[in-house]
Amino acid sequence: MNNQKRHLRFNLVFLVCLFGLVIFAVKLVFIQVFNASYLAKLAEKQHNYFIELEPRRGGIYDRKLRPLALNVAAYSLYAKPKAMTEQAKKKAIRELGSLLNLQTDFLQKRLSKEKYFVWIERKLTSITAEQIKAMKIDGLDFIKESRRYYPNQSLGAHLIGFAGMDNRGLDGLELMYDHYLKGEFGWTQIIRDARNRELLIERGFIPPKNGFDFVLTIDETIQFIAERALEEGFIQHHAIGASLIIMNPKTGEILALVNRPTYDLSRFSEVNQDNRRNRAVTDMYEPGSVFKIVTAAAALEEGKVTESDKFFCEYGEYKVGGHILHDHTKHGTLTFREVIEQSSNIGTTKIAQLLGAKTIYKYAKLFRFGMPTGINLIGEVKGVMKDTSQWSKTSIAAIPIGHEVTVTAIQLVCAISAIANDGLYMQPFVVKYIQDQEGELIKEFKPQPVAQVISAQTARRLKEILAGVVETGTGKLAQIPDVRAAGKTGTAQKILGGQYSHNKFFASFIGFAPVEDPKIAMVVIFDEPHPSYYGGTVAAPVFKRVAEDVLKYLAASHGN
Amino acid sequence: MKLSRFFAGMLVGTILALSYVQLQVQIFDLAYQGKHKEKLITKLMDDNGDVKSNISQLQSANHLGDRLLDDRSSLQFLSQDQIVKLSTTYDFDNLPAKSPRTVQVAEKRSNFLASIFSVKSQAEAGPIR
Repeated sequence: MNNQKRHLRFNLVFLVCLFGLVIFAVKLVFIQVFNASYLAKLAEKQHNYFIELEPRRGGIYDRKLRPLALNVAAYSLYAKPKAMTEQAKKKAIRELGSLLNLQTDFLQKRLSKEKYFVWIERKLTSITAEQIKAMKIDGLDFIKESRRYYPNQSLGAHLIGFAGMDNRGLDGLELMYDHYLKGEFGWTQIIRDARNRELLIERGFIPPKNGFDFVLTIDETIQFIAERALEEGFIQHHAIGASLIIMNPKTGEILALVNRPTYDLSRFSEVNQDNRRNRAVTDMYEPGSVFKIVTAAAALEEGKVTESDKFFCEYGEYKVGGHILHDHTKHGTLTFREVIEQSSNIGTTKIAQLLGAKTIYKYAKLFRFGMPTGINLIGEVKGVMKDTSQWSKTSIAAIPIGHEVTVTAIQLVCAISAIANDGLYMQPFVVKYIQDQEGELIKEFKPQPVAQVISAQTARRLKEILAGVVETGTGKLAQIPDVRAAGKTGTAQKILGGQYSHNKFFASFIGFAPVEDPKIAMVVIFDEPHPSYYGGTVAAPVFKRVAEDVLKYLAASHGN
Repeated sequence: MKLSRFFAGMLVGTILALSYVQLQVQIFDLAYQGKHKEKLITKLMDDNGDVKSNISQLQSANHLGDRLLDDRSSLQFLSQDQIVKLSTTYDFDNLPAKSPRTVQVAEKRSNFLASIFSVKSQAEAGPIR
């Protein structure tokens, strides 16, 4: 009996164990055979982690490799509202609001969302990120990014432009050369444990391709000198806009490009489009008397006049095509040289009549007015230079003195540079070379002659006449102690509603120095300066101040 | 199969398995340590980047210019005539060349005198080459 009972118990235990084993075996088969691929995928998803590797955006440097735009680490703050307690949310609203200067409403709205991810603030500095970490608020975390940093704030703002939140160029060189600057994303596959901690075990790795560095022709110091002088003039003369460009006439390198109003590159979103506009290349205007350099160059090159040829300037009133032309100062007879020095409209018109419309047009085109200079900057306009078939009866008295024609500041500086460079017109450019992170040259921009617009002999004669403008003519305020400068003043009425305004003007000065061996050529333009509005009194002093300092600087740095 | 052989086989198998596990643990431990060090390096690099950007801001023309030329300072670039050149009657360019022996004797003399009057140890008083 006992034996039978024991046997029964044994069998029962055996069957229970067997049943258990069968269940385990079935489960094992189910896991290993039927569920294997699903579970393997799940495990892979949990352990493997793909990370996109952000490339370093290329830096922008001045000609002496001083940084104008670079990258720094930034920390973007996000919250997981769905995982946050009410207490943590209240703490976050209270403490983040004051630290990050964020509105309470904004934070409340963000943290009340039923989401696991909401941005709070992008691209914070490491110091701010550390301060937030020290608050120990549950449900807040950071994603490391990089942010564009402009150490010079507003210096060269219109030239450099800016990159947006996603490090993509939005304006200026940042936009124009975004393709070179941005680089290419890489990726890596790493392993993480059950606690979501990353391990330094990489299963796959494609390194990011960093963006290329840009070295500009701009000199930071010259840019600063120009910015300072233009800012003072802009404030002093209550202008609504101003531009200044400095160019090396022998190479076409732009050494400085300034516009007013301007803006801080790190706060680009806070300013309007008007401040961000690169007026030096996007705005065209009637140049007025500075355009007389074209008429003078044409007259000398064609051999129609000599410096001592005399022109009767009608004592300030001259009728052309039913329109009465005036001179600012009444003159009797002036030599050709004096016509340019004193900026006589009547004298210049008489010279133009001697040359004819086609010759004036030919030289205006040779100086590349009415066409883009091809400078590597965004938004360049070509201006307007009408074909002779579209000239009216009064055009011969308007275009040679800089009316019925529109130009840009960059066109003017290129034209005066051509005269300074013995008649050789150089292609303007702002990028000197592009290099990779290892310093290997990717692309070099070399000085490019475009055309010999006038002969070297004519250019030298014209240089002397333009030196006379500064020494005895309308540009006396551009005189630089111990240095001979040459240039031309311009004062042009603005066209408002199809009519020439009598109280709104463009005041400009174009010039170069030293006359014997020009190191710099410059254009200075003020839009609506008042009460003083003459190019000779508003723009010429800015030329003098900038040229004086720049020449000293170049002498000290051996022109490098 | 004898039981002793079976146990020996089991022991070898277990040791091999444990060694494999130990190696895996070491790999993962090194991976954790590597990640930790990577974080430290990244932080140092970020801090370095911050410092560099601060330096570049401080030495930028905009910053220096604003500081130096504050309150409409009359600070200007120097022209050549504002630089004072000091002249001397001593002709440095045409000094008679000293023979190496003269130099050595002079050095020895000065070293000898220095060793007498100097309270410093020889190592400190010795000429720096």
